[in-house]
Amino acid sequence: MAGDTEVRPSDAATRTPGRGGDRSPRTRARREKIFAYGMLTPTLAVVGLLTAYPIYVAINLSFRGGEIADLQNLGRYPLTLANYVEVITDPELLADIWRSLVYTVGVLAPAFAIGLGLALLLNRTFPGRRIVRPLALLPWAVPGVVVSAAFSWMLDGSFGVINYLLRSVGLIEQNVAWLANSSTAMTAVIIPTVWKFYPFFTIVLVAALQAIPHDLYEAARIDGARSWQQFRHVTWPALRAPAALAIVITGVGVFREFDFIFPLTGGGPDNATRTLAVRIYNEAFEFFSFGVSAALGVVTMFIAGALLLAANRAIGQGVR
Amino acid sequence: MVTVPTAVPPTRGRRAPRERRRRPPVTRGQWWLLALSGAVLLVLLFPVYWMIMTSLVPSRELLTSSPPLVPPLDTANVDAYGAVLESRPVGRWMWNSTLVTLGTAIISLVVSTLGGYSLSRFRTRAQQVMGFTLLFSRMLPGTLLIIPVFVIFASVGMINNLWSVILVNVAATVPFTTWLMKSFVDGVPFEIEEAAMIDGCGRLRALGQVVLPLLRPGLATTFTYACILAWGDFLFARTLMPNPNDWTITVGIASFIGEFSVDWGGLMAAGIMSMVPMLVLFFFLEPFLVKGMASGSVKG
Amino acid sequence: MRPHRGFAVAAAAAFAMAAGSACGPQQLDGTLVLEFPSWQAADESFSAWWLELIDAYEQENPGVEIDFYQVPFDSFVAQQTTRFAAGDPPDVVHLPSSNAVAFATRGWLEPLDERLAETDILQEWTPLQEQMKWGEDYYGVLLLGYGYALFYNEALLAEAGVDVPTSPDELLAAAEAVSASSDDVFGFGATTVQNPDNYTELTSFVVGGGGSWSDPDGAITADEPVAREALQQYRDVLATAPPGIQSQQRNELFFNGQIAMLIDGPFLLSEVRGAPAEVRDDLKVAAPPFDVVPGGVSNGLHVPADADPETADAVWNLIELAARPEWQERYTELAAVPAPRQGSVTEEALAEVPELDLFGTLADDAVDIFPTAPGLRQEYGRVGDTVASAAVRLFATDTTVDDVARNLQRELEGVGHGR
Repeated sequence: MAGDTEVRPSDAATRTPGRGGDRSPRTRARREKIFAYGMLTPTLAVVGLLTAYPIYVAINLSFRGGEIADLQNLGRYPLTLANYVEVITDPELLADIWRSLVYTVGVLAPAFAIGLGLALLLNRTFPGRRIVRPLALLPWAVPGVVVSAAFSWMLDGSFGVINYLLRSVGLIEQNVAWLANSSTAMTAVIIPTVWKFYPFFTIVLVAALQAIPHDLYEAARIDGARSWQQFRHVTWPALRAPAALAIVITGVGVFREFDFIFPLTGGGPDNATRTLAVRIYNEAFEFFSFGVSAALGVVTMFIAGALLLAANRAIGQGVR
Repeated sequence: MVTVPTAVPPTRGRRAPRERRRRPPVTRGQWWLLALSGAVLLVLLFPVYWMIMTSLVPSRELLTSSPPLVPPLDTANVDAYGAVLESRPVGRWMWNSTLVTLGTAIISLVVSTLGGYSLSRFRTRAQQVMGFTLLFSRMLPGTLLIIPVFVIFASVGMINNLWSVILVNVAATVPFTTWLMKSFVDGVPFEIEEAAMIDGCGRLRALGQVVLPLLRPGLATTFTYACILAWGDFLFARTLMPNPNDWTITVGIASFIGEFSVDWGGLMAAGIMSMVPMLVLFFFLEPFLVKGMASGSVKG
Repeated sequence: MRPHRGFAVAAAAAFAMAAGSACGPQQLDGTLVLEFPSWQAADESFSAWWLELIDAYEQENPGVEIDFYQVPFDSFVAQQTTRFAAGDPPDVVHLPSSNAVAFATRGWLEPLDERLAETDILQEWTPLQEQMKWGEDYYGVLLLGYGYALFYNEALLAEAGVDVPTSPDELLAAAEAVSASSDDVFGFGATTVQNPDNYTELTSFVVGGGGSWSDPDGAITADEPVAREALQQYRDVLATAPPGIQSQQRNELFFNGQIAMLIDGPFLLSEVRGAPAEVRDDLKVAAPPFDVVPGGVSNGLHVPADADPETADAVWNLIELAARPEWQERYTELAAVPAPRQGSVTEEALAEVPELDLFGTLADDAVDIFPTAPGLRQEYGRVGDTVASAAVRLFATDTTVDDVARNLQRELEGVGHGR
């Protein structure tokens, strides 16, 4: 199939900083460098100012003991490792991490599958496509607050419409108390999250599909490729990089997602949906243990960072 | 996106779209596709449909073991919408949300285009580290960061100030949109720019005159992404703008959930209204999102 | 200035300049503006009283204005926590009482003993005011303390052929009779997903049966026979309740005539009045079907610690005004709940809301559902969460009552000893 490993000259070009027709390589390189950082400065400034200080406070807080009441004057409180000791020696930590992973993967896999399926469908030409497309993206437009309220209404264990529909088609016989039962609660919080996140995959993948020149398919057809082979050799290589990026971006968002789980279950029943993000909130705002909450946050940050690195390596060229 | 590494014979790209622009007659297969799309939408949009139902039918009639699946003609009404518009400043909430969203989206667009270009074109080790740090900065849950963020804005008296929410939303959006823009810039061959630079354009002008027009789908995606994030934000808005005059639509909607009861009809009515601006945005930006890339010039 | 504070200020100042705006101080043209966020500001029954009170206050105190505004109930405590922890508390502090101890132990609230000594509040108030005490000091004035009551649907009970229950056994029998009669009707109503309300509902049974989660010294008693019996009663009664619903849903079903009985505080009465007309007349109130009346504290007013003296005095003046007999009577009339000052139920109010008589008696007899042991009170959040988890095990799993009780005992002991 068309060489998806072939490296275009421009690829090589973009990978070498400051390359290209230089007459005086060194000055040019330095100018380029200044230019490069100059362009990144606004990003770093806005992220740095509003993220660096809060992260600094969180890290500082995670090392403080005593009854912490004033986050502006953390210096008043004694330095300690007690928060980390408590967090790391708590056998529940592993369970929280596991639940976070289950939730993240449980959201990503179906959201990606739906997103990809829809993208392939919407990439075809058919009447009414102009209307269908924005509608397919509609869940993305619904604010998280509304999504969780709507699903808590629909998942109501007694008169929720989801139970009614499932009963009507014979999938269940008795009503299921989705949010009260520890074996169904995780599924029940994953569903609204998938619903909210699949359109992002759709939009990214449709854009990528549209960029594949028709000639490639024609060439493949002439070579006698069937539709599955066309997908494997033409479509998928073009989708890989954007798909990887979309997965990472969404994965980062879902791993720390809180807006769906908390309103629906608060981390219950019996901790069945208590992810790291929910626990961090509960420690700070329900139990007022700011230090423990911050230590958990820092631990979460490292876990997520490690996952991100692993994902980055695995995806390889995706998010390079 | 679309760093399509597949080798495309550059000269042939131009013709494909023109061929497609001629509308061939609708085939049977295409009608099937429409039917399939309809069926898929039926499932995917059921939650929205049920929200509409809930806003039209008194919740009492839905709280039975076999609720009606279409609005019963005799009891369905739009009273919930009237009541919401009359008793709550929905217009004000929407306006506040609009300001926050536009501010966030425009600033994010500028900032992340510059940052994305930089990350794409200059791949030094330091650049990569910074790019990674950007994503890393989004690892801490907002619920943990919110108190320090509040400290920052409270210390300069910017609580109940739209700018505080805009800035913090920009900070939350930019790490992602910068990466998004980077991948779009990746898709623009360096030769195009190089040619412009040899023509005497500086780098910045090459970016503005040559690269930017090719980035339309990226710009549209980034703009949409930032809009969605800012429009749906609840945590920042409710923390930094506690005053009811400054509530955004999401905070307003949350207020339908009371201590003793939930006004389901009102909540869903306001929820439906809150979707409309984003749907309009999709409708207008969607062609840019998906078509721009295929216009052929990119590959030219 | 501490270094990181300096950084914050610098960062924020940069933003302020970029944004081209900064807010002014609290005092403009000599008017003192008191910020007063509350979840009751848009509440139909309580807000009327607040607005009248604030009007009267502003007339009595020229030069002071009160900025009274609504914060949604769901996020109210988190919002206040953020503000206190960030060192920017509101002026008038209105808190759900279950959270007040956590605020007091962090030194966020001013001790009020000296101010209280100049009033008759401590003499004339309901005994539940003691719940506003942490250590040696009172840190707030209770606005509503109550005993739980049985709300029931007379028609549903009559259809099922049962009387209003007066004991847990009768409650169970009545609930089962109603549930058996129809698919869409339930004998009892409760919160059957995990929620802080699980705590109050389960503990009502425990306290009602004469038990408690701990003795006053903090020794946990969740595994005693009294407690086990109550856990069993709770499980049995909740088997007749609609599964998987939030507490607001529970209320809605009750107002719709689909739930026959539930146990809640007097504040539910004003909501009952909003029920559909054809159901409203059937909804009645009785004493709870327990030997002991379980009770609780709802909310109170506080002065923030570290407020400047002028602000603190102005806030106290508001509290003091609210505590005067005429405003306490007005509270009873407008909110249809007994005010904390003894004898606030007037003839007029009683004529309007006959249930006030019962509510008054219940409040006087009530035993707080929250243990008095300081170690547990300080950890309200953890205790609540632990008990709620036990409640979930009772209504959503098959775990035996003995196991639930043992587990709860162990976990509560852990809470008392931690930190």
